Amino acid sequence: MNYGSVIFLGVFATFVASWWGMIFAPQLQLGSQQPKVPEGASMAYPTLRPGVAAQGHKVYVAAGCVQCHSQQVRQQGYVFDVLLTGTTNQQGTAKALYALGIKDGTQLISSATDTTPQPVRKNISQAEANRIQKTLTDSGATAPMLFIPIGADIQRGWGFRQSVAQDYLYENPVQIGNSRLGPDLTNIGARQPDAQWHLRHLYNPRIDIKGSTMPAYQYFFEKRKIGKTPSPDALKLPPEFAPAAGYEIVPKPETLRLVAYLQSLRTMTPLFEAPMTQLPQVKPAGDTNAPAGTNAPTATNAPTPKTNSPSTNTPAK
Amino acid sequence: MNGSTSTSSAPSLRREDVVRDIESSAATPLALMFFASLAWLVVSAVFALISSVKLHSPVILANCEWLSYGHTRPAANDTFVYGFASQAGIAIALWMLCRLGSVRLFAPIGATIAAIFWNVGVALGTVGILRGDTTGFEWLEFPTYGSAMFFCAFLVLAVIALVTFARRHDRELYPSQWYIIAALLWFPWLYTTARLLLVWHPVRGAMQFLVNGWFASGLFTLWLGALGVAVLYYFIPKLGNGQLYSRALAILGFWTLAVFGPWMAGLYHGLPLPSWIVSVSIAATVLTLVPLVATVMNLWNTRRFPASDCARIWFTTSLIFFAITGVLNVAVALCPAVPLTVIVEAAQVIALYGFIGFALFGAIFQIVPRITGADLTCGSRGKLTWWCTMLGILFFSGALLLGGFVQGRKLMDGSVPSIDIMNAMKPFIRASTLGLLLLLIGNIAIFGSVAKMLYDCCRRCCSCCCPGDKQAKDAKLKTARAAR
Repeated sequence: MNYGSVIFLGVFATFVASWWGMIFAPQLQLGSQQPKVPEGASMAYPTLRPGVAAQGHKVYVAAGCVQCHSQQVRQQGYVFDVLLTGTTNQQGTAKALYALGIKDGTQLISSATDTTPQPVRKNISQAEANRIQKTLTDSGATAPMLFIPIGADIQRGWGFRQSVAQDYLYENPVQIGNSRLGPDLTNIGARQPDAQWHLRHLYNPRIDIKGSTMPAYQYFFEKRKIGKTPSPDALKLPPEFAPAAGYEIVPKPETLRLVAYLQSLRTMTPLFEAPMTQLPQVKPAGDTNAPAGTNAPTATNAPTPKTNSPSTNTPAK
Repeated sequence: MNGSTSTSSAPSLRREDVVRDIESSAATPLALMFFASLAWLVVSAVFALISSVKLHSPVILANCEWLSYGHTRPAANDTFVYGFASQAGIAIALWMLCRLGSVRLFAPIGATIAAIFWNVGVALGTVGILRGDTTGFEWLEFPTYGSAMFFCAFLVLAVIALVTFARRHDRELYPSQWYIIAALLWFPWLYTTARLLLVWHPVRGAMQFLVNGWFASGLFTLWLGALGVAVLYYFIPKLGNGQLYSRALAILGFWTLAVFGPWMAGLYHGLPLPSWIVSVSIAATVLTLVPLVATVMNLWNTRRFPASDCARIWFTTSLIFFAITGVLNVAVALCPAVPLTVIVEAAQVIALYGFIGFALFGAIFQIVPRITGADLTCGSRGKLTWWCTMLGILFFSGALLLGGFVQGRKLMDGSVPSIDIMNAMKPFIRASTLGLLLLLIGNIAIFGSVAKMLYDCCRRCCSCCCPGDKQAKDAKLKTARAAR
């Protein structure tokens, strides 16, 4: 340990090893990722953002939104629902249902169609779902299974499934974030599709969300005298937040781009590595920060589920 | 300590003259770098304070685009790391290389010019962040016009350090030198890889946050951490009886850090990355407990300070925070509720102020008096700095550890709406603001103290290389350097 060259070569060798292991090898695996067409879909995923939203991404980066908002949904696991959409053997299926502890099986069968699937069991483990599905299928019934991702983030409405590497393919720079001082924005576009809401929220977050600690981004807006006709873009503000009479608040061009970007933030495509069958329900505007109510939304109004992942080969998490 | 001053180059000279000659060779660039780095430290604390206030009072400075939270927080982080810690660290590294190798600093004029460019680069980068030119990657926010200048200046200083090292008269190496040489290799490699793969020729998608995490953990462990350990290895024996407890343990600590350290990319389960990468990162993070235990044990047993020496407190505190930092790193990696909460921020302050900050402060309080000829005794400003920094760290990290615990619990409970999470954290964030205020006072105190020493020196002789009051200085050098 008394030669500079020994230190240099040793450090060089150990560091090269880590560079190969932590940069080069992952690049071989992740760097070759391509957009792919999920099973049952017609378009490759992910898609490039439209131009305005892509410009809005730059505004998002420049304003440092990432300091408080992450874009990664974490998931704790899955639960499964087994549905009934029809049967070729009413009696056999009714028996099978009775064996599963469902007394009014015939009623269930009669109301089960492709468009109105009836839940047989909800929120069960994969093994149990497989068992029930097999029992029903053996009796001649069509019994699809729903993959329902669960987790705190998903329950809160921050996303429909966990984020995976594929989701970030076209992001640059990726704004995944490491702090959740504000809500996660992975799905803000689905949660809150209303552009006016976003503009109001940027102008003063406390208009719609009382007690919010988000800064008011008033430099994104221009306060100006109303001309002959009011600007069509001018914000419609509640009286206590409105500017003085004769003035209007108009968003600057980059603000509109930022909002376009926020609206484009939605991750709802099921992937092989992140399967889900529950078609997402877009929540009504206005309660973006409220919890989603239930993490296993009602299956009754869901269209015929298409399972995009082989049920026997589901990643556990 | 094996770096005893060699007299082979000038056998007729007294040892103290040789030492003074060596120290004065580096005086100008070091004085500049210490002054500038401490100025950045104050700037960083101001930015951090503004950010923290904004978290609970979002209306403050709301109309100022340059001072929005999204700008001040990265500005606070980057000015601390590149303006203060890296600059002061490399200045101290230069000084240690000169002293341990008994050699004059190579090209002090070049080092001075590089230091000027370094600071211009950091200033440009900071302005870039404030006006929204950030790259969007944590710890790499400086836009290219700032980072390129800063990095070129770094390269010049690194070359000067390596040439100084190569020309050393004492050929035997001491652990501080291992860490400095390794850090001077690690940092440019980390930085160029990260800039190349993130900014100049961006990798796609998920690779970006892997590269960013790899860089960030390397920046803390292999660059700032290695410099901090080098400082501790130098000053703890020097202030004591001069004997290192165990060279074998030092070798073990160094090589295990070199092997495991680069693999800890700061990843955690739940990140959208292939599991094997996350597992490797966590395993490496746990394994860095080996170098941590080896180094802390070695230095802890080395401490044999005379009871009257007030300088010991800096290094003892730093050593304790070093141990805490290592343990917190493992906790952050292993506990799924911790990432994305403010616990991460608390851990950062413990690492940056507690471990690296205290080590650098202590070293600055040792070195600046020697190059300016000022009084080496502990002044009241030194005490004020220590107390404010210590209380600031305790307040800030204590509040955010508790707040992060609450936040993590609520984040993991999906029935809690996000607005409630933030409101539950407000009291903790208010307390952390108080901590930052204390840190700012401490930073101003050390800046004022060093600025005064430099000012006195300049006023006395219009040049920092002036020996000053020779007799008094000689006496002080003798007492302070009993180890040699």
